[in-house]
This record gives sequence, C-alpha cells and structure tokens, in this order.
Amino acid sequence: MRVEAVCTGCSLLCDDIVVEVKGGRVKKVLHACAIGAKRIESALEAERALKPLAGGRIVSLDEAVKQAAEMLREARRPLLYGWCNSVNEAVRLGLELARKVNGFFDGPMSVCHGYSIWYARMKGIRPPKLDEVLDRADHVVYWGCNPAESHHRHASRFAVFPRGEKTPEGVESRSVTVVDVRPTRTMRIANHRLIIPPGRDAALAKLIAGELSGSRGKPSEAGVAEEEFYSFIESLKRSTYVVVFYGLGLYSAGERSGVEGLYELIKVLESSGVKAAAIPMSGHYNMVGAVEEALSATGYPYAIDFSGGQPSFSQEQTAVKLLSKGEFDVVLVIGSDPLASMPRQAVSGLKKSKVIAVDYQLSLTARAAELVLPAAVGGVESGGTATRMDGERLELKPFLEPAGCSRADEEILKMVAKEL
Amino acid sequence: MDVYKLLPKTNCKKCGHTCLAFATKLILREVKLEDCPLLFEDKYAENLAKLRELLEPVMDTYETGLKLDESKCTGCGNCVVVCPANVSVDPSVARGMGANSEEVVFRVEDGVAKIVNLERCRRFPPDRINCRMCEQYCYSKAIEIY
Ligand code: SF4
Ligand code: SF4
Ligand code: SF4
Ligand code: SF4
Repeated sequence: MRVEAVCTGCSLLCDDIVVEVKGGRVKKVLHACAIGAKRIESALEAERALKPLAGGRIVSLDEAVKQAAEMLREARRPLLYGWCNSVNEAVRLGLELARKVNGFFDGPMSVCHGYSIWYARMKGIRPPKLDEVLDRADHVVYWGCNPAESHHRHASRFAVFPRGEKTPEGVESRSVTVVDVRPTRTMRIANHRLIIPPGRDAALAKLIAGELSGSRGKPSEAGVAEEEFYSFIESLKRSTYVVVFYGLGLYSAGERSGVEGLYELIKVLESSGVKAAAIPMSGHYNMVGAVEEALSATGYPYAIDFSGGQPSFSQEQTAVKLLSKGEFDVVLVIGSDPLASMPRQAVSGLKKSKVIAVDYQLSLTARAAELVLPAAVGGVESGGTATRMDGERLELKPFLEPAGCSRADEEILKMVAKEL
Repeated sequence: MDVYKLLPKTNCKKCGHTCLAFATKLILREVKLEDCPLLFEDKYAENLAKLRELLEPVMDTYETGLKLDESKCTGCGNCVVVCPANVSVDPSVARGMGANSEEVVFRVEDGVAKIVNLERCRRFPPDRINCRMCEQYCYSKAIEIY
C-alpha cells in the first residue's frame, strides 16, 4: 500500500512524502531526505521505548500513569520540559497540565529559536509562506545556518531550485547568499559567500543597511572581504524580493543583537522598495507551534512559571538556568533529551530531580528516568497538527499503528491529567 | 551560468525572452544562437565563438557517464529538482516535490538519491547536451560526471 505522509524530521515538514507500507511495516520511503527517512525508520528500531518502565521495571500503562500523576501532584516545584517535538494539541494539553500542577513550562525553544519567533510576533511581523518564497523570492540568504546539514531539502523543496511564478528558471532566477563564520556545504550552491568572524552578525547587518541607505561603512568593520561584500550588495540592489533564512549562528555568545539587527535590515530593505522577510530555521519539527501555543494560552512564549497560580515570565529564568540552581524536584520531559544536550551544570541539576520521560526512544534522559511512558512517533504513528517554520499549520498523516504499548503524546497527557 | 555570462545581457527581448531564459533554452536546444541578433554584431564575435564551443554536443555520448556515490548522499533532492530531464517528465518536480514518475533520471528513496533512468539524462541522445547541473549543485559532491 502506498500512502502519503508529512515528514516530522525537521521544521520543513515536507508534505510530499510517499511511504510504501506492507503488513504494518515500512517497505520504502520516497522523497524524504536522510534525516526524514531515519525518523520514519526509527519507529522500528531497537532503541525504541515500547513498554512503560518504573525504576527500570516493566509496569502496566495504568500503573505508570498513576505514578506520573502522583509524582506531579506531590512535587514541590515541577518542570514540564520539551514540547518542540509534539503536535500543537499536545502542547496545549501540556500548558493546561503545567497550570494544574503549578509547574514551570519550558523547552529547547528558550535556548534556541524561541526568542526570534517571539520577537517577530511581538513586532507584528508575519513571515511569508514558503510557497510564496518559491514563487517570488529572487534573492535567498542563508544566514548563520547550514541547511545542507540540517534542513536537507530546504533549497530543493522551496527556497532555491523550484521554478515559481516569478522565478521561472529556478536556481538561475535567484541569487543565493550564504553568511557564516566558516566555509559550509551550503556555500556550494551560493553566488555570494560572506564569511565573518563570530559575533559580527549585527555589524554586518548594519553595514548592509548602511549601503542601502547611502551611509557607507567599511567592510572591515564586520570583518567581511571587500570584493565579496560589494558584489553581494550589487546583487542585492538588483533584487526585488529578498528572504533571509537565519539560524542559531545569529545568537553567537548568547547575543540577541544579531536577530534584532537582521530585522532592522529587513525594515531598511522594505523602505528602499524591495520586498523582504526573515524566517528562522528552527530545528525541531514543531518549535514554532510550541511557541505559538504558549503565546496564545498565556501571552508568554516559553519559560512560563505557573507557581503563583497566574502565569509569569522572565527571559532570564529559563529551565536551563533554574535547573543549574537545582530548583526542580520533579521533571516531566517530553520529546526531548536534555541529559544529552544541556550544559553540565543543568545536567547535574536534572540528575538530582526525579524524571518522568515521555518519548518514543530510549534516549539518555529516558534511560536515567524514574518513569518512562512510551510515546508514539509523531507523524508516523500518531497525528495532530504541526506548525512549519513559516507558520503554516499542517495536518500530520500517520500511517502505522503505535508500536507496543506506546501512545500519542496527547493521549498520555490526557490520562495523566485525569489521574490528578 | 557560463552560457548566460557570454550573452549580451541587455534583456532587449529580441529573441522573445530575457537573456537568462534564453541561456537556459539554448542549453536545452529549444532555441538557436541565431535567434539572438545582437550576438552577430562584431563586438560579440569572441563571445559567439565561445558559445559555439560551449554548446557543441558531447561528441561520443558513450564516452560520457554519471556516477552517484550513495554513501555521500544526504537525500537533499537538489539533483532531483535541478535536473531539466526530471522536470520535463514530472512537472511536479519543477515545484520542488519528489519525483513520483518512474521515468525520471533520479529520485530519492529511503533517504538517498538513486539513478532510475540514466538514459534520460540530457547528455545522452537525442539531446547530447553538456549539462552538469546535478553535479554542480550537489551539496555532498556525490555526483561525478565524466
Ligand atoms: S527536509 Fe526535514 S521535513 Fe523534509 S524530508 Fe528532510 S527531515 Fe523531513
Ligand atoms: S536577443 Fe540576445 S541580447 Fe536580446 S534578450 Fe535575447 S539573448 Fe539577450
Ligand atoms: S547532467 Fe543529466 S542528470 Fe544531471 S542535471 Fe543534467 S540532464 Fe539531469
Ligand atoms: S544532490 Fe547530491 S546529496 Fe543531494 S540528493 Fe542528489 S546526490 Fe544526494
């Protein structure tokens, strides 16, 4: 049987995937890149979480759910962490759960693209849809990101190679610029390669804006090679629709000035009569959705503290910071592996707390957890809606039954909430 | 892109296209050099000679070939979408979608590109064009044309 699917391997949510399924097994995956194909195949992997575990012992799902509810109920200060790899419906339930247990709601978005997603929303900026980029953008800039390694199909599915209404020759109708601190594979498809020292993103944005508004600066101020810079400026001036896809490179050293500088540059481009937009290249498939759900439920993007009953928020108080101070006694981790990805101090805080892991794989975090609730693989075994990097909501099209005792995130969260 | 660079780049549209579109059509053999009147002016004589050389058909097509190293490939799909032969047999590829037709040169299966129909490549008859688009735009240097 051939079925259509939406890939949840990254925030591009490629919706042209075709899967051949036979007897409940995947026979072939068409069109997904290596990351996407791997995610689909992971549903059948050995590292898969299939049974609920309590203290390493297999228990029934009911038992595990009861224990999770009890841990959360009795927690002095619970953290509910993850959400970027869960569908919007599950995020909503997570926010309700956090409110109910007076918990702290956060995830990788607070140290990743959460800020830029929030910043754009605050300024009332709505990014264009990727289909519009396909049809109209004649200059695509990859800034501080390397889609050749992280979002493999970004250029071929939407931004560079497809032929659109105003871009009839595909790659030859567009200019491609890559800004990064070192040569990258993405530069292989670029016309302009701007290499800058780390942390000079804001300076470069300012320099470009200056060129456009007639106040010339020196390329050396941003540490960029002169010849390359001016040929980029020439090409930029000829462009009619510029879209900048930016990555975490813009946050070097935890600075936010890169993102702010970029949006200033977008404004300058627009006022010089060029259509321009910026879109963050978020990694996890539903990071944009997680931030948007949090904003619409509480007015805050992430790092939301429900301990006082009413939600409160401080940019400086993220899960990573509070974990480093050993603040949480119980941590529910959903679709994330903080033990493998957080800085050392936060990890030692995490190790001191009791962890409930909701995941489809036995990640480092799940292996060390007090309690494991096996989750279905989103997009493969369970559905719901997810939000693409451009804000487009897509309905996932699962094509396998959840393996073993695994359940959709939503179902698990509902069961836990009911037990509270 | 090399072809484009050698055109007059005036976008005069005497050929009925922009210079950029004309360049692509030249490569695809949909138009002839003679369709651009400007090229036959004296000042473009050198460019014209170079263009003739560039567009010379691949002499013996069986001396040409294309290798795809699947171990390097990440399934990015750049080759699938950039390939003019793919686009002409499966129009949805022009919009960046995966190739569902069995007639394409490449498509991505289980996360890596596979050569499905090498003879569709425009380097082979009847086209015999010196196209190297897939090789040029592969992120991973997985494609080698020889
Ligand atoms: S680019 Fe992202 S969404 Fe598309 S197939 Fe690859 S992993 Fe999946
Ligand atoms: S006639 Fe020649 S110069 Fe004029 S647009 Fe066509 S290709 Fe370009
Ligand atoms: S060389 Fe052949 S396979 Fe490669 S892009 Fe050109 S026509 Fe397609
Ligand atoms: S362009 Fe290269 S890396 Fe991308 S799918 Fe084709 S062969 Fe693989």
